[in-house]
Amino acid sequence: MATLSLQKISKYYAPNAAAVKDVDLEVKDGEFVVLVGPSGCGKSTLLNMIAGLEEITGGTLEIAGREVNDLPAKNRDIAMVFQNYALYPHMSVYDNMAFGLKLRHVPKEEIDQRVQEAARVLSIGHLLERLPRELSGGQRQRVAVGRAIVRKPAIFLFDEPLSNLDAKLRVQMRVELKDLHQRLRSTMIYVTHDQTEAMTMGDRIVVMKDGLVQQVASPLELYDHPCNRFVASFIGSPPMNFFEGTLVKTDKGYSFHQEQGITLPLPKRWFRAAEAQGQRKVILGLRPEGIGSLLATLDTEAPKIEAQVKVVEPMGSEFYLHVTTGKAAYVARVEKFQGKPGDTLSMPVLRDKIYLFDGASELALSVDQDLP
Amino acid sequence: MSTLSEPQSDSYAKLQRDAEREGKSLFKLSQRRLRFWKMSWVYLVLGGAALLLALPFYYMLVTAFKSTEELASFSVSLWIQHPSLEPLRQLLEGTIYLRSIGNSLLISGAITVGNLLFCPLAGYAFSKHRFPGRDKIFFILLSTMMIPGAVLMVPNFLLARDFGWINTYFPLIIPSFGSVFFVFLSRQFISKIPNDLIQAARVDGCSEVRLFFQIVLPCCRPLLASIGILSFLGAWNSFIGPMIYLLDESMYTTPLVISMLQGRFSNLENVQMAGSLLSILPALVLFFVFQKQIVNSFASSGLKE
Ligand SMILES: Nc1ncnc2c1ncn2[C@@H]1O[C@H](COP(=O)(O)OP(=O)(O)O)[C@@H](O)[C@H]1O
Ligand SMILES: [Mg+2]
Repeated sequence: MATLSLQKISKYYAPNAAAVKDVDLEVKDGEFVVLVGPSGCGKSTLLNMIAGLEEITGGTLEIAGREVNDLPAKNRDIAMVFQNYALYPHMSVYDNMAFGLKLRHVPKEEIDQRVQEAARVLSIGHLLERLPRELSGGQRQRVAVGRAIVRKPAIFLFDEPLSNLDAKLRVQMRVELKDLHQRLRSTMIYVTHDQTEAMTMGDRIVVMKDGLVQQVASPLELYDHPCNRFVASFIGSPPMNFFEGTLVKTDKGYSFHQEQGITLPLPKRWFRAAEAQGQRKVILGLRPEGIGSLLATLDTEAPKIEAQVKVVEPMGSEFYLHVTTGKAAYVARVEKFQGKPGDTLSMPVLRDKIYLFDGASELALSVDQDLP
Repeated sequence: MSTLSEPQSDSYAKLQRDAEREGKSLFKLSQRRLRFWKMSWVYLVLGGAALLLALPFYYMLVTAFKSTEELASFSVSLWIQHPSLEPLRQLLEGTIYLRSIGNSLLISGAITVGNLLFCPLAGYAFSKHRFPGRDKIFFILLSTMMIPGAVLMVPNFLLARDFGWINTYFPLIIPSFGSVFFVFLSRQFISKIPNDLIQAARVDGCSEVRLFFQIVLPCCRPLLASIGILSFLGAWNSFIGPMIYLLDESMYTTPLVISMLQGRFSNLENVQMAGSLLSILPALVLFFVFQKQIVNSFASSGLKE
C-alpha cells in the first residue's frame, strides 16, 4: 500500500526521440490506475520506469513519498505481472510463487502460508507441484498473479496481463482482477491497449499517445468529456464518428455543415463555442449510441439526420448500422431495427452525444454543460 | 489387401470384389515399386558413402585385435581369424597410454568446465545487458574467427614462453576459455530467453549473479549440452597445441602418444590401431549418454513451449 507520484517523468532512448515525455501523475493509495494507448505509445516504458527496470531519463519518481529514481527494482517493494507471464520455466508453481519470498529471507512457514493463501484465492491449489509448461494460458496467468500477491507489495504493476488469453477467459480474468483489487485494496497500475479493459477496470485512466499523456480521468469522465479527438476516438466502442466541416450561423442559432455530408443544427450549449470558433474548421464528433437510439427518439426536439443504410450488423441486443449521408460514412448503434440495407432513415441525434473539436488543434471546444 | 476379415459367403460378389481390390493393390504396388526403383539410386549413393565412411573404422576395429603373426601373414585383410588382446597389452605396457588418457581428461575437463562457465556469461552480457560499445566489441570478437589458427601459432608460443608456460597445461587450457564460437552460440541462444523473464526475476529481488545462475543458466540446458560436448571433443582431439607446448613425455595427451606409436611400433599396425580405438571410446560414451541433448542442441533448441 502506497502512493505513487510521477513528476515530469521522461525517457529518451535516443536524443530527440522521447519514448515517454513529461508525465505527471499522482496515484492515491489503493487506487487502480490504467495506462491505455495504442501499441508503441510508451506504456510499457513508463511502467518499467516505475518498476525500476528502465532508467529514468528525467523527472522525479516517488513511492510512498520517497524519491526512488535510482533505487534498483528489487528494493522498490513492487510486484509485476507480465504479458507473457514470465514464469520461471524450471521451477514448480509453488517455487515460482515462493522464489521472491525466499530471496527476502521470509521464514519458511510464512512462505508456505502465504503461497497456500494465494493459491486458494486464485484456485490454483491443485497445480502447485506442476511446471509452468504443464499449465494452460489462463492457469499460467493466475500463477503470475499469485507470484505477485504473495509478495504483498506496496504497488502492483500489470503489463498487458490478459492480452495472451482468449476473449472469454479475458473477460473472466478481468472480473477476477477487479475483484482482487477490491479485496486487497492495494495500489495497482495496469497497462493495456484495450479500451474496454481500461474502461471496465480503472478507477482512473491515463490515455497516452506518442509518449505524451493526453488525459487523466475517470472512465465516465473520459467517455463524456474527452479532451481531444484522439481520446474521443480511442474510448468507446464502436468508436466515435468524426465529420470535418464548418459552423454556420442560422436564424435559430448555429449549425454544423459538411460539404456533401451531414448538416446538423447544434443545441444551445454549443453556441458560445461556435461563436468563438467563427469561420475556422471544426470536427464534429457523434457517438454511435447517440444516433437513432431509443433515448434520442424520446427527445422530440432532437435534430435529425437523413441516412441511408449500407450494412447492418446485428449484435443480439442491438444493431450496428453502417450508414451514409452524402459522402459521409458513419456508424449508428441502435436498439431496434426492422428495415433492410438501402433504406433511408431519419435519425434523431442525442444532444449530449455531440462533440466539437477544433479542426487544427483537434482539442475539444468548451461546452456549456447546463444549457440544453 | 488382406481378405481375412471378409465373411466367407456370397462367393460371386466377393470374387469380383477381390478381383477389383487385387487390381487396385497391384497398381498401388507397382507404383510403390516404381518409386523404390527411382529412389534406389539415392539409396545406392548414400549406402556407398556410408560404407566408405565406415570402412576405416572397421579396419581399425579389426586390426586392433589381430595378433602380430596374423598381421604379418596377410598384407591387407578385412577379416580376423584369431582375435587377440596382445596388441592392447603391448600398448598399455609399452607406453604411457593410460597416463596420457588421464592427462587428456584433465585438460579436456578443465577446458569444458571453463567454457561452460565463461561462454554463457559472456553471451548473456552481449545479449541481455546494455553497455557502451557492446555491439562493436561483439563484432570485433566475431571477426577474430576469420583468423586462421596457424597464423597465431608463433605469437601464441612466444607469449606462452614469456609467461613461463612452456611444458605446462596453462597455454592449452587458459586461452580456450574464451572460445568466440561458443560465446556467439551463447549469445544467440540467450537472446531467445524472454526479457520479461529476466525482469520478473529482478522485480522478485534477484541479484545479478543469482539471476544468471538460478534463472538464466537453468534455461540453457541445450546450450550447455552443445558447449560441453563440442568443447570436450575439440579438446580431446586437439593435437597441434599439445605438440607445441608439451615437452615431457609424462605430460603427453593421448593424440600425442598415438602419433608416437608410429615410430615406436613402426611395423605393428595392430598396436597403433589399438591406440586409436581406445582414444575414440570417450567420444562414443559421450555420444551415447548425451544422444538426446546432442540431437536437440543441433536441431533448433526452442525455449518457448
Ligand atoms: N530498448 C529500447 N530501445 C529503443 N527504443 C525503445 C526501446 N524500448 C522501447 N522503445 C521504443 O519506445 C516506444 C515505446 O515503447 P513501449 O513502451 O514498449 O510501448 P507500448 O508498451 O506502449 O506498446 C516505442 O516507439 C519503442 O520503439
Ligand atoms: Mg508494451
